Amino acid sequence: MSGHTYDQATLAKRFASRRAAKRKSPVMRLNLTAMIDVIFLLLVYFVVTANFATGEGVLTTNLPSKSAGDFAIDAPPVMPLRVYLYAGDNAQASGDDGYKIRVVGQTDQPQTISQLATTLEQLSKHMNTADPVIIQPVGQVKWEHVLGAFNAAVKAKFQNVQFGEQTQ
Amino acid sequence: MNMTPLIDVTFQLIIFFMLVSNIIGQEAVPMKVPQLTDPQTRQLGESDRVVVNVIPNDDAASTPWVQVGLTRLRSTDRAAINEALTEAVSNNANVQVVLRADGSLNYQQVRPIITAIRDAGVSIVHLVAQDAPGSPGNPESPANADGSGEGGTP
Repeated sequence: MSGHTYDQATLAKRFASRRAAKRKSPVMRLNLTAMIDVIFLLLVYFVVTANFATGEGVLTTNLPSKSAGDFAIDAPPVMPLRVYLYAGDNAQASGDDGYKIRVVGQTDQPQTISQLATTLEQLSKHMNTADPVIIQPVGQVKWEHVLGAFNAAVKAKFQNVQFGEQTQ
Repeated sequence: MNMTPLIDVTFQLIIFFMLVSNIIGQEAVPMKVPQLTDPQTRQLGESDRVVVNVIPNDDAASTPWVQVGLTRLRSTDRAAINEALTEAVSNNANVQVVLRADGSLNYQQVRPIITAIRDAGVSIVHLVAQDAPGSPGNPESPANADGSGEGGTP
């Protein structure tokens, strides 16, 4: 037996002081505020950049089946409206970037893509917009102009716009 | 308040956006797509797509590069282009083919790629152009108004 003896009151006092010490001891806690701030900033950054990544749209066209011939239209119900685009070297370039436009059957030929849009809009009032429109590049015409002519036909509400076979 | 689920979800979102933005960046090669006057473009809906990029070479006289998905090929290597396109299309019948070509290229350089897309069995191709400034997809355009998703074609 040990020489120390404690009475009940002393023991109770000691246990009580230990419990109080335990209650007061600091608890380890991770402060997440800074991390959450950074995460939200990253989230906002990626959401914003993903939305404004492209800024591009599409123009849709049909590609004729292989059996229908190279860029020929499938059994056209009427004569298609042909829009020729010439490169600067092939004709007297009058466009703003060395191209010339010829709409078959028109006396007043458009000089620019904007004028082509106006011409096609006037034509569409007297034509069936389901009739095919063939964009026919000749020589080294820039893709930008070819797509511009395509866009002009779509703007004029033509529903069947295709690319013709390129000729030299 | 238990923050664990919030942090979990946020991390998932960040990972999602990081991956998506990487894929977009890799498929949409930086180039000057045609900038049109009053573009009638529309936004392509969420669907499986194959992006075909026609990239001008630094040397203007050289043949351009063609990137089908993430595979970059010489535009003269028709067999490889056809193979890549056929493989991309055959995996998914409903896949949409998007053609991005630099506006400075000649039609002569782009047309063989359109032919290759057609030869792969694709009947509809989406041609990429710059949207009008401040117009997300130009929803008022006739191409969008009918909702047919066919643009200027039937």
